[in-house]
Amino acid sequence: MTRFSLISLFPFHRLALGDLAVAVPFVCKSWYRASLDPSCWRRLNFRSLDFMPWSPFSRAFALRYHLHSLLSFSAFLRFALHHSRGVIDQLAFPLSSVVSIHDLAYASVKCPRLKALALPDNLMLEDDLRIPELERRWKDLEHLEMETKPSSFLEAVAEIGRNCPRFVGLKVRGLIGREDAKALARCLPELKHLELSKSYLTKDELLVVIGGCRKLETLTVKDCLGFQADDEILKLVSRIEWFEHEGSTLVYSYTCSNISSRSALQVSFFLSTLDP
Amino acid sequence: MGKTIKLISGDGEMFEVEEAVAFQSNIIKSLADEDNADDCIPLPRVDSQILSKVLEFCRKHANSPSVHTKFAAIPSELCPKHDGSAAGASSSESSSAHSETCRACYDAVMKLVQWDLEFVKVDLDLIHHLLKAANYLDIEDLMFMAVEGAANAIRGNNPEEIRKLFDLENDFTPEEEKEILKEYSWLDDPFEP
Repeated sequence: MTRFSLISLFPFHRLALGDLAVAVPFVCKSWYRASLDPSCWRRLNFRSLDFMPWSPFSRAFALRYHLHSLLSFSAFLRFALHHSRGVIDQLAFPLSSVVSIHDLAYASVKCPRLKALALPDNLMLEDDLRIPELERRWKDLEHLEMETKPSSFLEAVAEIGRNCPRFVGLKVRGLIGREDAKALARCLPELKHLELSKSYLTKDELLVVIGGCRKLETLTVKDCLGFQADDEILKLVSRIEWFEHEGSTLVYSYTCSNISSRSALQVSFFLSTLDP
Repeated sequence: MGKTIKLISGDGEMFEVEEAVAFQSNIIKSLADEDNADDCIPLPRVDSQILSKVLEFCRKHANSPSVHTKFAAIPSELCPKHDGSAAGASSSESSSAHSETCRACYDAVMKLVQWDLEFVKVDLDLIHHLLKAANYLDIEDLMFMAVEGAANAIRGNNPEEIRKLFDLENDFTPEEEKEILKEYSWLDDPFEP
């Protein structure tokens, strides 16, 4: 009798993406079958892996699956989506430049019921403009993370407001101007969680957002440049349960606060607050 | 000490613990609810070494909300900031809203999670026994963390190392392995329709 012959107790659904792809299926036949269960592939955090073609993971994958060429992110994306059989709750694209707009478009077709999405970072300008069109397909979206504010931000926010009735959480970083703040207030009045840390943001914009998004439960504006939390702001945010503004200053200073490290179990603020 | 429960391990050792600690186990809770004159609950399938580890976990979690199975479901009565003075119904919806936004609860939960992660950094044999005990005694949080510990044990390992860890045999024939690889031959050209 082997250990873990109680296969139903073994945590296949908790395994890291890399292990699930490269090691687990090749242990033995029952582990192979278990690795095919779509529930193991419902939350895809591609940020946990290094997709540079020469990384240990890419090389291990290419070796294991006898690829004739180097592993591309596109190939692995299709591999993972194939395993999930279209039932994906969370998807976090990598932040490096390995992602193309075609990958995003592919995901929008293959994962129609996506609830939480973290967009890739380094899209080209013309690809940036396609984000709103792709968002139309994700009607169940609840959380969206954008590491940098895309040029299509206004349209993207409008699209979410029109298409995603369950949307509650947004994270974005960049220069939050007057039009951006107005768009948030106008298009996302039901927003519950907003994370704008490390952005350029003045008090005026902050007030517009707070005034329009009256259902906010958390507002995180740490390490921003352009405002300091004065009495007026603090009074207005008193109804918001969780307001973080450490490090935000009017003028850039050379002492920057560190954002405290997250637990290993958390991918990001948003992606962890969804129920399993 | 408040009301206590006496537990007897499979190898005959007696453990006396507070109700709040023992009742982390849904099985013990339901057994204690039945009329039991001795207040002595036998647990034949758990030996003393494992039971003492399990109780160590339960002691830590006794006065904390269930943190893992529903990350956000901390009833406001248990919130260190509000210390029982929070008004309103503790329906599951309002509890989850509370803990998602209460900084004190969030910090308490993160601390507990860190402790738990250390707790399960043990050898695979112990993880296996904890998993079985958590399943048998129906302790949700221990189940969750033992699972996490098992998943961590295989992180970054190759199939051969995993087989060694779990005493598993490679029952693939070379032909069967080839068949699997054939199924993924499209990876070489993922854009072919």
